[in-house]
Amino acid sequence: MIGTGDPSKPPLLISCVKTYLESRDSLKNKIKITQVYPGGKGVFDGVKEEVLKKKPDMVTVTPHEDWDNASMYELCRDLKKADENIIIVFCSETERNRVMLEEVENSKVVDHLIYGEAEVPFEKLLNYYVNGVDGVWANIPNLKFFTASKKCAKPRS
Amino acid sequence: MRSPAANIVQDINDIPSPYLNGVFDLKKYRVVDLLLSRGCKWRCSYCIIGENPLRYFSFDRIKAELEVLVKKAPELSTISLITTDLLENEKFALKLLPLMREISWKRGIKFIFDINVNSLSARNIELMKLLNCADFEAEIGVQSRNNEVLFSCGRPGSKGIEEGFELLKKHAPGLSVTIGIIRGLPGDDINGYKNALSWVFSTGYDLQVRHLRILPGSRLEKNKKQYGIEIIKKYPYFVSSVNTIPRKNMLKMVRLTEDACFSYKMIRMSKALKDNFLTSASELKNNSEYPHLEFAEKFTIWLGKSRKFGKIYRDYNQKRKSETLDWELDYGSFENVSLRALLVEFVKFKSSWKATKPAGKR
Repeated sequence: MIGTGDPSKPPLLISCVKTYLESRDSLKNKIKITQVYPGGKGVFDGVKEEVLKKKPDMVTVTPHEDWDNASMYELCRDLKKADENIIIVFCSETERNRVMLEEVENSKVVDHLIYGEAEVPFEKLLNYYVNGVDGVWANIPNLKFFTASKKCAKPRS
Repeated sequence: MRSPAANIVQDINDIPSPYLNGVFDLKKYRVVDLLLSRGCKWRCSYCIIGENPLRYFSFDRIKAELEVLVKKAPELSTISLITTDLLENEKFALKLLPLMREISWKRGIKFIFDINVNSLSARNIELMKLLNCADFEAEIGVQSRNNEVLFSCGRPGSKGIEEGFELLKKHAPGLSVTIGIIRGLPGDDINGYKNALSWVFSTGYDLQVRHLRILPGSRLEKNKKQYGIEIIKKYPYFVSSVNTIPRKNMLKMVRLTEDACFSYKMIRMSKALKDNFLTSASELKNNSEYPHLEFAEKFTIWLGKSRKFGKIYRDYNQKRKSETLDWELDYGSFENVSLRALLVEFVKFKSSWKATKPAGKR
C-alpha cells in the first residue's frame, strides 16, 4: 500500500483498510500488507524501487487532493512495465479527489478502482484472488474492473 | 455510487484502530488525523461524503487513541479531527470537548475540526463555551449566502447563520474560525458571490474559498446538463462555467477573490488593523452593496501601487498563475511584511479614499 496524502501525517485512511483486511477471518495469515511512504508531497522518487523490492502481488495507490493524479498513473505505468503481473488498485480516495472513470480507463494501468469506503469491496476482491470466491461483483457498484484500457464486468483471472 | 448497506462496514468500530495496533511509528509525527466518524447526515449535491450514512467511532476508542497519541508522539503539535461536524452529536461533543481542552492545556496540542454551520444555528450555548479555547481551530462551511443556491444544493438555507456566528463570537472568542465558501455553485452569480465574500470579511474571520469541483457520483455530476455545468477536463475537474455563471464571469470571480484576499489577509495580521478595517468598511454600508469587499479590493490596488508593497503584490500575482483555483489561508507568503509600514499605508489609503469617494449609493 502506497501511503499518499500529506507526508507529514500518517496515512490513516489506507491504514484502516490494512487493519480491517488483516482482521478478517477469511484472510488471516493469507495476506501480508506492507506500506510504503513517499518522501514528499506529490513526489514518488524511489517509490518504484522500494515497491518492487517487496515483490508484491498487488499495489494500492490512494488518490489524494494534494497529489497530482498524473504522477500516480506514471508510477503505476512504471510498476507495470517492471512487472506486468502486479495488480494495481486505486482506493480510499479523499472526498475531494474522486477520480473520473474515463481517466482510469485511459490510464490503461489500473486494474481495480474502489470508490468510497474501501474495506468491504476490498475484502471481496481479496477473497476472489486469495480464496477463489467468485461472482460477488454485481452488488458492489463502487468496485470497478479494467483490463488494459477497457472497463469490464469482473477481475482478471 | 451510493453503496448498498452490505458493502460498507456498518459498525465502524469493527475496523481495528491503526493507532491502537501500532501501525505507525508515532515518534516522528507533529501532525496527525484522528477519525471520529464516517459518512454524513447531509447529502449536499456537490459532495460525496453523504453517500454513506453517518456512523461514529466509540468515545472509548477515541479516548484510547488520544491517550496513545499523547504518550507515543512526543513531537505532536496538531490533531486534525476527521468528522463532518464536531457538534452534530451533542452528547458525543460534550464528552469529547473537555478531553480536547485538557490535552491542549497540558500539552499545548492544537485541534483542527469542521463544524456544520447548521449546528451553530441550533444555538447550543454550552457547546459553544466548550469551544472557547485558543488551541482550537474550526472550519465552518457556509458555502453561499444565497438561499436558493443553498436549497438547490440540498442545504437548509442561511436562516439563523448570522445569529449563530454572533453567539459563537460571544461565547467562544478564543476559537479560531475559518469560514468556507464555494465559488461556482449553480444558481449563484457574480453578485451573490460578492455578497458572500463581503459578508465573510465583515465577520473578521479567516476565509477559505473552494472552487467547485464535480465529483463522480455526486448529484451535481448526475445533473450536469440541467445546471449547464462545464468542467475543465483534467484533474482536479474544476468547473469552468454553470448556467448562471458564464466562463468570463467565473474568471472575474477568481481574480476578484485573489485581489480582495491579498489585502484581507494582510489586514488580519494585526488585530488593530482588523478592527479598524471592520469599522471603516461598516461605515460604507450606505454607499456600497459590498462594503467590506470593496474596501479590501481598493486597498489591494493601493498596496499594489505602493513602493513597499508593490513587489509583494507582484510576487503574489506571479505565484497564483501556477496555483490551484482554490484560495486558502496559506496562499501567499507575507512573512517579511512590516506591520508598521502596512498600518501607515492603511491610514494613507483611508484618508485618500474618503476624500475621493462620491456620496450616495454606487
